[in-house]
Amino acid sequence: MQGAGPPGGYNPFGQQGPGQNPFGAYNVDTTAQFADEVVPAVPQAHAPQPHGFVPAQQGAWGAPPPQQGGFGPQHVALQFTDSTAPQFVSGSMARTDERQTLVHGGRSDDPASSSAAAMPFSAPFSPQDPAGGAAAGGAGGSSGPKEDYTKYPFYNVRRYREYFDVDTKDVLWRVSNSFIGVFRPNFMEVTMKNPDLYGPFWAATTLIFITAVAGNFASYIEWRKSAVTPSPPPSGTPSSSPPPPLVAPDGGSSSPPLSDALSGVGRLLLAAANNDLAQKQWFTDYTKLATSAAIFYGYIFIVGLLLFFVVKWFKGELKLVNVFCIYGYCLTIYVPVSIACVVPIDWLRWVLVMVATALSAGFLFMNFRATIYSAAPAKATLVLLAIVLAHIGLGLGLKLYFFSY
Amino acid sequence: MWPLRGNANNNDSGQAVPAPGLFQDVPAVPSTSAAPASPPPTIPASAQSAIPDEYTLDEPVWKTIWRDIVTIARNLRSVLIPVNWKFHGQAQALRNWDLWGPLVFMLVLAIVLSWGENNASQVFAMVFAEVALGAIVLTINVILLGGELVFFQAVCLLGYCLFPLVVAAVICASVSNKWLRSLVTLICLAWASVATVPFIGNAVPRGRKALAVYPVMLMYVSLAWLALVKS
Repeated sequence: MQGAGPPGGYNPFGQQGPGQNPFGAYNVDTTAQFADEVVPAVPQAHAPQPHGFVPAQQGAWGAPPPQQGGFGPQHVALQFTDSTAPQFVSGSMARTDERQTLVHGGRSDDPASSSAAAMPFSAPFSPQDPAGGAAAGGAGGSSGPKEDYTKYPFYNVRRYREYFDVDTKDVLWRVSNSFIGVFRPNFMEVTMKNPDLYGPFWAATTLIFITAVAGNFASYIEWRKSAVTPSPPPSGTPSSSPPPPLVAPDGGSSSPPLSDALSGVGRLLLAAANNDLAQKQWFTDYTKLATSAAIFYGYIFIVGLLLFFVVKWFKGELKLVNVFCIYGYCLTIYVPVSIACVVPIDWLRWVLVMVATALSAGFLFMNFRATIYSAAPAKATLVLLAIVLAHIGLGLGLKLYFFSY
Repeated sequence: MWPLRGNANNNDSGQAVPAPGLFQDVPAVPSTSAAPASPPPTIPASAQSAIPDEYTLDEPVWKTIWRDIVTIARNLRSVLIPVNWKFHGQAQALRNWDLWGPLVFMLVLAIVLSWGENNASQVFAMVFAEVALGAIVLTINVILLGGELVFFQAVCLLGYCLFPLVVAAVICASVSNKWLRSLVTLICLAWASVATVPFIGNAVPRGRKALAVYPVMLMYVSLAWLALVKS
């Protein structure tokens, strides 16, 4: 909010009539521009820039800049020749709140916010984004009425609405772009203005639930296979944490295949289910659940924080929320992968996880490349290599820890 | 007991009748007085309708508990019976929210799901934490997405919508036929969704409904899965 005026919110348009207002010409003219601007609902980035719009807005903070003197007579002429001038004047009185939103909340260099602020309570519209085909992903910032979130104190939840200001189509675009980020690396530039934390938080939370459910389901499949053909317990044999005496009575309590349950005693508790469909345990391995939460939340938060500090160290231009946004969305590809990894074929799991890791590592690389190269041209390769290596490490860890089920 | 209840007194509590009917209608126009404090008993009852004339300090304990039970039952009915679940109807019905019902359902769900497990206390802790934290996080999520909700009202609704899942968990715990279990779980999941989704979806701006509804479905589906795989 540049040009922060008097804290009391002096509104030169507000209480005085256009006759006494020394900037009455601006008043009328601004309203007229708004009336023109509101109807087509087009952001002013693409609208033909109205000649008096931005200067008038700057002039709202006090004395108009001297070089704008030329506008005065022109607009006064407009005011008096136009037969609808009284309508504009009355409209200016009615639009006080809008203009206050504009003056206090909008930025004169942010056409999206000012045009959105000029039309509160309107339906969300989708302006054409400067990024062309990538319209949906970045459009969220300017869709819908925009309020000034900084008016809320820090402990109010509504202050952080700024970071959740996305529509469904924005989130869908971001998720799909994170899948194909290697080939179309414009995530960063599209979301630069409007990063969100919705995607990162719910991507990580979804992954925690999905890996737990899929792990449970996969262990059930495994148990069914081993129940059909009783075999010596695979891989996780002496996990020693499941106390066998606890399993055996429960497993054999109501089930005909008592012997199966007994043969599964030594295996992981996950697989040691009892009867028919009924899996004895769901989140049996609770340390695994806690670990998955730590990994997914921690990867986004800690690695993102580290990267942010590194870029800041090189005095680069990067917002922390942008880093979280990218790191969060790069995890979304693991959601379908973790579902597909239920299929009990090990090499297929390896291929899936490694392809997903490569895609999301490429997504990270391509989107951080420009920023890091501009921040630290000499060390950029090193930093990017560290990013990619950390991500590959995550992929390996996920495969070995979760997706083996 | 009022800190766990919404503080908008409904009109029918102004009557001197000891217990309002269990399925009596929620008043269409809620009273505007938000003060939970009762006036001194000297005020004549006929003078005003907005101020309840009962004096709750010296009433029998059973009467107080019964009033809460009636509130729980009424909220349960208005949340879960999808007769008139327009946004305004539900929100108005939940104007006198309470947290007793959600507490009871969370506890019952956690107990049922952890019954007979190997490490029952861990399952109980996990289910209870998921349900309680989930209600809070989902409400904050809706508010962050630009929706205007009364916080405890939304928590109340999300808690009451656990009731179908409690039913599913109880049935799944007692029936071993897997097709029946799946059917019951699906029906109860659909019931919970039908009760929740209009409220949550209409609270946020258009174009963001899916963003608000998705986490709710994530929580309900995971709970339904828990119920389904319960032995």
